[in-house]
Amino acid sequence: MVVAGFRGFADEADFDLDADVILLSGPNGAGKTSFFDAVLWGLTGAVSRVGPNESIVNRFSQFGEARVEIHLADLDGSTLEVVRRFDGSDNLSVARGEDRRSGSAGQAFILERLWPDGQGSSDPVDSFSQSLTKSVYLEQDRVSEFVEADSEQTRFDVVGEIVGAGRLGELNRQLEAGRRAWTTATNRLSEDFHPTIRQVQQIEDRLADISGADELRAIEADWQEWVTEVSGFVESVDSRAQPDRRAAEVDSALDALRRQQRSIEAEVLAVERLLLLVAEPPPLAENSERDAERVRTLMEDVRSAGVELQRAEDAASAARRERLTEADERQSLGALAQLALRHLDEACPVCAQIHDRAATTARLERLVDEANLTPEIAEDSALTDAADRVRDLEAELGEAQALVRDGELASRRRREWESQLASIAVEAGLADDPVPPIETLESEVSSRRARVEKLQELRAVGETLSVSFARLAEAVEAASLREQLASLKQQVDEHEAELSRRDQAAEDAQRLHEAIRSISESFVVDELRRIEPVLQRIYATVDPHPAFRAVKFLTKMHRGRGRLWTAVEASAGDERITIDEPRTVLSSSQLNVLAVSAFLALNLSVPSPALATVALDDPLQSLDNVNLLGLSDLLRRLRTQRQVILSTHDDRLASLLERKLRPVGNAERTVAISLNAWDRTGPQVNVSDVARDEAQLRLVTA
Amino acid sequence: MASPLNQSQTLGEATRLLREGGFQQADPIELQPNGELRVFEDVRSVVGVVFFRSWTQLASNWPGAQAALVDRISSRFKRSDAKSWDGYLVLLTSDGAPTAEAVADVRRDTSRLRKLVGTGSDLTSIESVAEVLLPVLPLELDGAESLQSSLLERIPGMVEAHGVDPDLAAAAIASFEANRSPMEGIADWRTQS
Repeated sequence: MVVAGFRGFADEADFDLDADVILLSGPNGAGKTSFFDAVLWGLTGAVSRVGPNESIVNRFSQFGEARVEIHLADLDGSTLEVVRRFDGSDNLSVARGEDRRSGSAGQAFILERLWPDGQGSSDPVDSFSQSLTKSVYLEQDRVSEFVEADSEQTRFDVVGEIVGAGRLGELNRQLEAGRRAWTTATNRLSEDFHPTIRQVQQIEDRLADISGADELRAIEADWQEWVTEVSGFVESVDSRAQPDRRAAEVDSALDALRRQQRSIEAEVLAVERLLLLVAEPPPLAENSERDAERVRTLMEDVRSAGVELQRAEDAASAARRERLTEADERQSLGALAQLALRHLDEACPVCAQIHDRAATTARLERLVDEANLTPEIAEDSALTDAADRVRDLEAELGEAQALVRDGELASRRRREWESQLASIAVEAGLADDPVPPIETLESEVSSRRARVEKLQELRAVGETLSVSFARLAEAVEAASLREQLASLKQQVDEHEAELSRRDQAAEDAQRLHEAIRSISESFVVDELRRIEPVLQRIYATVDPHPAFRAVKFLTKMHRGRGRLWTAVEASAGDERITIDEPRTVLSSSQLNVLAVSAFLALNLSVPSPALATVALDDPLQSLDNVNLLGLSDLLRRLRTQRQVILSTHDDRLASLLERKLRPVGNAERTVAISLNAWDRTGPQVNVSDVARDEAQLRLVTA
Repeated sequence: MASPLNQSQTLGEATRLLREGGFQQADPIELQPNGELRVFEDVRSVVGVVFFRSWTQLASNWPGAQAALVDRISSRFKRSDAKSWDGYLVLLTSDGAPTAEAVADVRRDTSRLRKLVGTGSDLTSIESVAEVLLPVLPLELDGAESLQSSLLERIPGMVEAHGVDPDLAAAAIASFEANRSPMEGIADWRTQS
């Protein structure tokens, strides 16, 4: 370790610590505690006992900074080099071979290498620091703190942290979190496979539906025979169709047969209708031409008579107009006569001629009388004759026309019958012979009915064949489904096996989680029970008290929190006296032995110590001689388990320790570091090897 | 209360323990009137073991036994030899001490040799002999040895009592220590099993 500008060391001090025992001596204030604090600060970046980092910089530091460089030898032979500086801010560099990291990454690297058990802690660096100060580095003036000053809960928590409860808790937390995530993934996996399971169910249902299709009938001969017969009716059937196409062929042929049957049945009906029509033909029209000629003649006669009649009417009309003209003249004269009568005088009012008034009057009155006469129109006999002739001819014409109409109606009915016959003959397929004989028609009916019966038979056979093909297809489908089902079931089995494996793994995790939780609840107490014999052996090795020769841990759990006391026990006959406040029965020297024993027991029992080192800063103060010897003997035996770093302010004690902890054999090395003559640059550092004991065995060889 | 061990039992067990602890036995020293001081030596220290039939004899004769052992050491080591200051005198008796303080007085006398005292109240069983000799025996850490392994390494053995297969726990822990989910280790283990 190299220290510069750190607390008591202003100048750089180089410490060779490559030894299994390091004895540090010097008067109080010479820098012994600074030496230990340098290790703690170099690894953790803080010395809580001292305060903020500003206070660790030596005021005479050449560069105004504190620097600690630590070289740690790993068990695998590699070296971890830690360099920490504080110049107002913390600077850290950590290297392991070519792997070099700085800052928080460097701190994480230190934790990873030295205190992996603390990684589950909420504050890993603090956990690391606690592990160092509670099980590696026993600080000066805090020797008895573990059994005296710390609260019972703090002691319990610190021990729990040191023995790895935090790591255990982290394992269990991750285990539970992992199990939950695993279960979620398992459920998702199960859901993802639901479609496959439904598919299996659907195939099984389908197989249940077509389970009767197991037997494959030999229907090839039936097929060929049917196709041959059907070919007489339907041309489109392919006898060479592949089996999987035959059902469609049959279906198509059956449709054609059905249509053909319907067609023939229609023909039968048509032929039967023909039979009815042929049996009752409508009568043929007679004298139709003669009647027509007569009608034409009569019509000519009527026309001629009409002309005569017109002439007669014209003559009669002229005579009537003449009479009427005469009557008009008489009325005009009569009017003039009346007017003249009123104005008649002796002379003519017009020409003033003298006339015979009486004669004139008589004449005028006669004219008046004649004006009132009705014209007489004589009856015209020619006209009457002409009209009679016309009337007679028209009557005769009507009769003739009635005969013509009857003839035309009969002709139309005949034509309609013949047309109907022709149409039905087409329907009946007898177009070539529109009016066949009844015997022929009856034969046609018989032959068609025979064909209908054959078609019905073929259709029945065809349907049977179709069903057979369907069964055959189902059998093929069933075979395919069984194969598919087998494959899917294998998948399902594998999937269920996987789910089962996953469920079992989840159950395994749950059981392990519960087991660890159960262990966790009693873990620290159990660990203390394991450590207790070690504590007892260490304490008994020093054996500081004549009566209280046994030591044990007392624990109490309350609401999940543990409490810890270190108790001493004495035997009084069969009775054992337990004291959970050792200071009430132990002297300060004995109490120090108990505290150091507890510290060493913890140090030796830490599962994964941060450093395989036990560092004791002047722990032997206040010890009487017998306890001093006892503790020295104990520390001597510790060197096989741990690197021992021990400081003392007592020169006499330093000499005793050099003798007691002298190296024996080539595997051991004891380094003595003396810190003396302190000035502003720091203490004078002398590092020397304690001479190896070469005395070996002399009493025995003698 | 168990009977104290007799002389042969006590000395026999002490001799066995010291031999197994790396000591070799040197020639014994005859003590007057009829005692024997057994002498043991290892690379670091010299141990003398003597048994007295009563506390009275012990209290009276331990200085003579110490002197005899110091003479033997001095005959082979110079004062400057570290081992000459590394002597232990183990005083044993099947008799009880009148008071604990009487025993403490003997122990607190650290002149020349460190005294280890075992009386009838201590030597109640064969195992109790080792407790008296603890300061000179190698530090046995039976309980701690089992703790030297990582806590996580010990978990498999601990969960077995809870009905959990140790291999399962080991697989989960191995995965956890490899910075993977413990569940991965369990799944792998379940697959392989």
